[in-house]
Amino acid sequence: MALARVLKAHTSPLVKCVYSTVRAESGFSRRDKSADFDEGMLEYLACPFSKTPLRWDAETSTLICDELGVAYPVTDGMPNLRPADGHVIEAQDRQSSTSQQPWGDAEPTPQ
Amino acid sequence: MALPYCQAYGRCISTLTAVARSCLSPVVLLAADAPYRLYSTGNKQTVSFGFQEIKADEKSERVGQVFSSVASSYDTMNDLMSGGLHRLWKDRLVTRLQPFAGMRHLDVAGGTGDVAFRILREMREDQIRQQKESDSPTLVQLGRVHVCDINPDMLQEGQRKAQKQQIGEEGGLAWVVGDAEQLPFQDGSMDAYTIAFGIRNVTNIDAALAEAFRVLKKGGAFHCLEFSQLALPGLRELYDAYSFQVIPQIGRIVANDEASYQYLVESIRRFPDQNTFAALIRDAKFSGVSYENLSGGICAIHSGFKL
Repeated sequence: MALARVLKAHTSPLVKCVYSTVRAESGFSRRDKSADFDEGMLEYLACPFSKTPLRWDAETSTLICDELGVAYPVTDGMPNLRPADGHVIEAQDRQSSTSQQPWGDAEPTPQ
Repeated sequence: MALPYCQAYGRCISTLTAVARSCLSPVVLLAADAPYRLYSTGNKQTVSFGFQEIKADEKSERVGQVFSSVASSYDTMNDLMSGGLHRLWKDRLVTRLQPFAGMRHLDVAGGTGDVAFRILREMREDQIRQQKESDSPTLVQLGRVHVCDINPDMLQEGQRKAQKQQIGEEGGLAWVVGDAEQLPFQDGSMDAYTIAFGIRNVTNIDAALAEAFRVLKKGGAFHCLEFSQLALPGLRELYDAYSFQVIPQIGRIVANDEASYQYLVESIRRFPDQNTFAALIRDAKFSGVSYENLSGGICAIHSGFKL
């Protein structure tokens, strides 16, 4: 019993330390993901389909083509503008860039 | 071709979503529709993949597998296979390009940054030179090299290399995952375009050339370094023996991947010769098209201008 108490006393600072390190690291990488994108690139980048300029959406870390309503992912600051990696976004998302649904949650119909 | 298709598709999707709004969550729509239909070209024509004939739709995927599998050993393999010659070939490409400070450059299929780093170095030197010569206090702009590759693994390899060699720390490099046939850059946005050992792997060469023409400014230069056909008889047999007997074996031993390097040598033989390729570039509306043979025609640099 005493041994267990001693062990617990000694391990908890270690656990705390590891936990906070992990947390700090994950926080850093999350921040990194969106902050790394150089918005100066927007001057030259275009949607591979419409060839029109893109809009940077920091919230979702995507580049959006408003004309077609297509979003392209940006991973670690690197835009992925392969045609195959674009996905169609909802009409509502185009304006607000959020995934809120004004009509509420509905059950998807089974296909 | 892609634009009207996509617009029509976009319209179709908005109608669909308007109807289905009440019963479908957008998350489901997004997941269900995501990558597939956007890129279905429905192209059933066959194209060459090395000596095999495969469906046009499959080529980019197959080439993608080849490069994902060789990305980490790519530079070592280039040195081993070419005996270091590829460095000289790339140097020659950059000499022909004559980079300048403030330049907007696009290097396509340049994943590991080999060509981009050379160009950026020259741009930096020019920037320093101009800075010294000018009396005005305004800074001379460095410009930017855009590295565009369809394969994220190759780009990550390039980013790692840039970090290790401390290249592009003062800016000047931009990494973009994109397709040479559908470039994600605005019309007339680039001063020059290079593609080194990349156009051979593109499914539709005409489309890639048309895209190069589109993104270039008026007066912009196009330079393509690619394996070509040996002009000298005698040397040809030797080269063939080396390519088909030795290179796949080096690939097996060093990169543990014989198939990828078998593809490499086969795709080189399938690529059009100097004059045929020059005609393709002319067909893409480029002016002043010329080529220069390197190492007796093992490679050639084709150049053209958008006038």
